[in-house]
Amino acid sequence: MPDLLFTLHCATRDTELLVDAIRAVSPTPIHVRGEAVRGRDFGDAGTAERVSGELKRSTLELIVSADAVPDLLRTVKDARRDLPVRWRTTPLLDHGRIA
Amino acid sequence: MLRSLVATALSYRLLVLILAAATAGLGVWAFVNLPVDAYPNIAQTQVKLILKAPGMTPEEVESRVITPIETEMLGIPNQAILRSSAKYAIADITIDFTDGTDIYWARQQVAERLAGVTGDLPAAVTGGLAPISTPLSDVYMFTIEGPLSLQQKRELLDWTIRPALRTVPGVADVNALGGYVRTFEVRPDPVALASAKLSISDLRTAIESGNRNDGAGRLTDGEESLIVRAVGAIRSVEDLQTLVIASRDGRIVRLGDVATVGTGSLTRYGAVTRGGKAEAVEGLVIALRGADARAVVDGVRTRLAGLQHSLPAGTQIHVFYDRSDLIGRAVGTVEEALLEATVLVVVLLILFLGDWRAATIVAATLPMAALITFLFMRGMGLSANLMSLGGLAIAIGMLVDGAVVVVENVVERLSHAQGEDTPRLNHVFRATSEVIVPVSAGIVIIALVFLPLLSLQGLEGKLFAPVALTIVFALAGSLLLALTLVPVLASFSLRSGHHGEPWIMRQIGPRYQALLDAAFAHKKLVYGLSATGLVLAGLAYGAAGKTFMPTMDEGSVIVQLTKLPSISLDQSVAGDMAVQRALRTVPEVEDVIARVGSDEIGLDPMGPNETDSFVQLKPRSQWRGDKDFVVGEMRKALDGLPGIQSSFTQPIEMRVSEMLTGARGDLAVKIFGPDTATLAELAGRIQHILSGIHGSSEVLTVANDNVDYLQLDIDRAAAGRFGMPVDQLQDALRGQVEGVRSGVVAEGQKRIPIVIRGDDGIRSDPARFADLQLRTPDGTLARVSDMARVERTQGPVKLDHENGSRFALVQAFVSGRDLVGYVDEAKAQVTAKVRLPAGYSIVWGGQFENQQRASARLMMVVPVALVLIFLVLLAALRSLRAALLILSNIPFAMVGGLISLWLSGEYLSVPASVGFIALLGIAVLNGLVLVAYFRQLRADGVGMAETVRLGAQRRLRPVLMTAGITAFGLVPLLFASGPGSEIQRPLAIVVIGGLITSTLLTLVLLPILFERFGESAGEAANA
Repeated sequence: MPDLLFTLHCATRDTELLVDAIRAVSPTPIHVRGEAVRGRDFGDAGTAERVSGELKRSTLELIVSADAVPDLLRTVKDARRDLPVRWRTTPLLDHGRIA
Repeated sequence: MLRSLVATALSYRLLVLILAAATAGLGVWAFVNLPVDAYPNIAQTQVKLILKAPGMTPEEVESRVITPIETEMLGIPNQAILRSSAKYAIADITIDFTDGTDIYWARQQVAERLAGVTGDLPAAVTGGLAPISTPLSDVYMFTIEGPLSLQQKRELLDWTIRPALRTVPGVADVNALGGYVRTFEVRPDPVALASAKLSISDLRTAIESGNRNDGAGRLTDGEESLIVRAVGAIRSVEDLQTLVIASRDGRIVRLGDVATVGTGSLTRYGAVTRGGKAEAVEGLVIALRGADARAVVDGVRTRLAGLQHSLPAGTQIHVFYDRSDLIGRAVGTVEEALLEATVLVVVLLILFLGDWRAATIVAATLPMAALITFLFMRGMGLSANLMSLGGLAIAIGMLVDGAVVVVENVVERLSHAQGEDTPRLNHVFRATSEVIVPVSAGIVIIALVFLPLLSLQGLEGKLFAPVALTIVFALAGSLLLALTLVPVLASFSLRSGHHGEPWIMRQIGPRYQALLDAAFAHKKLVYGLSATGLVLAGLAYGAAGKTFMPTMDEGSVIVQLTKLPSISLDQSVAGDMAVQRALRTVPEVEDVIARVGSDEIGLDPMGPNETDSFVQLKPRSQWRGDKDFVVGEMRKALDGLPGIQSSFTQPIEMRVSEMLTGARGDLAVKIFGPDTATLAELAGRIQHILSGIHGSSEVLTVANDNVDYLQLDIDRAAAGRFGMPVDQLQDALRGQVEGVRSGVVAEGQKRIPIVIRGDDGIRSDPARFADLQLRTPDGTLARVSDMARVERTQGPVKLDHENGSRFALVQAFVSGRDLVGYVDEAKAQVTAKVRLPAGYSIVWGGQFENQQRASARLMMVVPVALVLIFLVLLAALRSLRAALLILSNIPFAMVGGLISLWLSGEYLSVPASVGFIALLGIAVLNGLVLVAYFRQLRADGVGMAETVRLGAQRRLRPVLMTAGITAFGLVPLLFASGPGSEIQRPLAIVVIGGLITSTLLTLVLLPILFERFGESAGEAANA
């Protein structure tokens, strides 16, 4: 099965919760990045984000095999999040580690 | 920081609503529980010493009582002034401390020093520190009516009512006046006493040593023990009569053998009369300093109602002064004005905003800001009174400014937001954020202009600090609400979509456009008219009278009567009753209760020739005219009475003037100097000059008044030959006339004094008094006239000191003329006509002194406030020219204020100055609204000519709203008629008049000035 880059955009306050949930089902390292999203799609926003017009988001990235994605999505779905998340997978051509 | 406050509020909207509801609930609780009084606490830290020196003349009181105490007290730290007054048998010493001194600390200092000097005072001197009270302390006055005799009524008051009322929380003391205090009276028969070889001091010693119950310890009786009690106390007249005073050669001399024993009464120093018919007994409840007057009166009423059933049959308590009436009316006046102002403001909001939802949101901030203010007031320990609630009434129009600007901007933004998918909350947030700076700068500016009031000192400081504090609290509350609750409510209830121009703006807009075009076409005319306005204002300033404070109508009248100084108490009482009968011919007068002379505690130590008549008036609906008319009628009624001088005042006003200067009167001229005769001569000349000046209603001085003395010049050689020491002779004389106290008889709770004194015949016949035979320590008999030269002379009624120096006082009451003008003329005439000898000086005081101090302080502080405002403007606009241009608006705001003050006939007083201060803030705010927008348009690249026209037109609504709402918020104060409205009316007149000219000039002159001076050449080139 090919490896995929699994990217998840969640609310900042859901970050820790999702990281813990994913780590429970996947051994791969998770990269967490803070982001500010300015835009007009406020469907995912919390009240304070609607007020300021700025969405505070965290991006979680991890490399997984394609068959692990359904498990991950189920985990994310079942987690007691506050706000909706957006996700995507990107095929990886190659990757490695150099010491 | 303010942005994040708005963001947080909008993010937690439910929380904000809950917090608002909780704050409102707490505010209502605070309002219900606020201490309520008619006026703020205006008392300075003052400690009063009242000492009674029975029988002593003013000169003796001065040299033997006042001088040693003064010498001791002069060194107390934080002391502002030391005043004292020596009258017949009374020493009255008042020590004022600097503001902020703790009253209990001050009392302790005085008590310690007094204890140190007590040993040097004559033995008969009694008294000490007066209760902790203020001029506002006389809260409840009543008389006892019914079939009882005056003595029984007095006993009921002293031993039943007074102890019961003293336990009511907040009551400092209950003063008992009038009637007779029962005594056991021992009247020695000089002949019998002489034949028994006894002196008065022997009698005294015998009575004191023969009047005691005591215990002697325990005895054992088998298994029990007995407590031994020796009963020897005098319980009745018979006990006194059988008291053995001497035993010689197996024969005993009883008190009854050498003296008549019976019941009598203490020497009276004062009396109370009622209704021109008879004497009465009066109780006066004195509230503790800082007590909640309304609660004290409620407590007193409840306690009296509880006592009513235990009073003897037919006896009733007749209340003739109840402070809660005044409190109710004063607070009611302001509350009514607040309510009316709120309704007016809401109507204006609906008219100007054309949107009832927006108007409702803004209107909701009014009660909320008021409730927040009550919370602050409770926290700061301010009471709800005329001045603090008046502050709220003044601020009501300004409280909505912030909310109006926020709501207007939200409405504007939402009306353009249709079709956009940005959340409404974001629109509301952005709309609020845009106006954060102008809204907070505006509110800070208005709060800044009121801060100078906090620096006022003395009476005006105590009166106006609560006004300033409430306004600042209310503004702070309104700013908080404008940035939290208002956006939250707006986000809930304001609709997106286009809002049409409200009807009123459609009417005013085109007319303003035409006016502006005409103004730009005739600039010279506009400049000319503005200059004329300034000149007129200058003339109005010169023409308007200046005074300290308008007289507050307390709804009660006191007529102060002064009779011939030598008058006896009985004659004085007869005079009072004649006055009462005359006053009762005026149909508006319901009843008159007068008290003459000194009271029991000595809080108001007047002479027997001085009377305070309390006039009870019928309800206002039954009057034929206003209060001035009624007072005029009373004055007319008193015109024909010989030997009685009258002056009119009110209960609180009278106490306030006494506290401030120790004197009553609008103007108090004090002449300092060492010699009494010279002082009296100078006082007489000054009195004559002041009487001739237009505006004097009464000019009084007691410096020239003399009382008749029967002076006994003791011949030391003659007295020595009889073996009579001077002090024993003096004590014996006092025993004959004034009486000597010699213990008490305990009747249950009551303590009835035993008094030895001479026969009535001796006391009412100077010739018999001179012939009086006294027994000397040697056992011989000597006539008074053999040991002393007896002659009639005259001596002063009263001797006054200030900081240890003697002075004579001339008091003037001014009516129908402004005080400052009167004083200026008086000063000029006195300087021209009176040449002061070396060592003499004149000090001008009284109400006028306060006015001088207040204007000097405002002259210093207002410029400081202007500098602060200038700095705020500079920070908000970042342009020196713009800031200066806005400040130049101020003189034009004053134009309307001064002219309207002059037209209305009101005087330029401290409240009017407060009005000018408020006006200054609003004028600056209006200027800021306009100039800030001009600058924004210029920054957007709009040409100068178009900027001023377009900008003025677009900002017409906010400028009109701010000015209109503030002015209409004050309209109820213009028409209010209750007590306290006299203070707020000049203020309202100044602000409303000033807002008319200021708004007109802001809207017409400022655009012209901005076009000409708004930008430097460099700025214009860059634009």
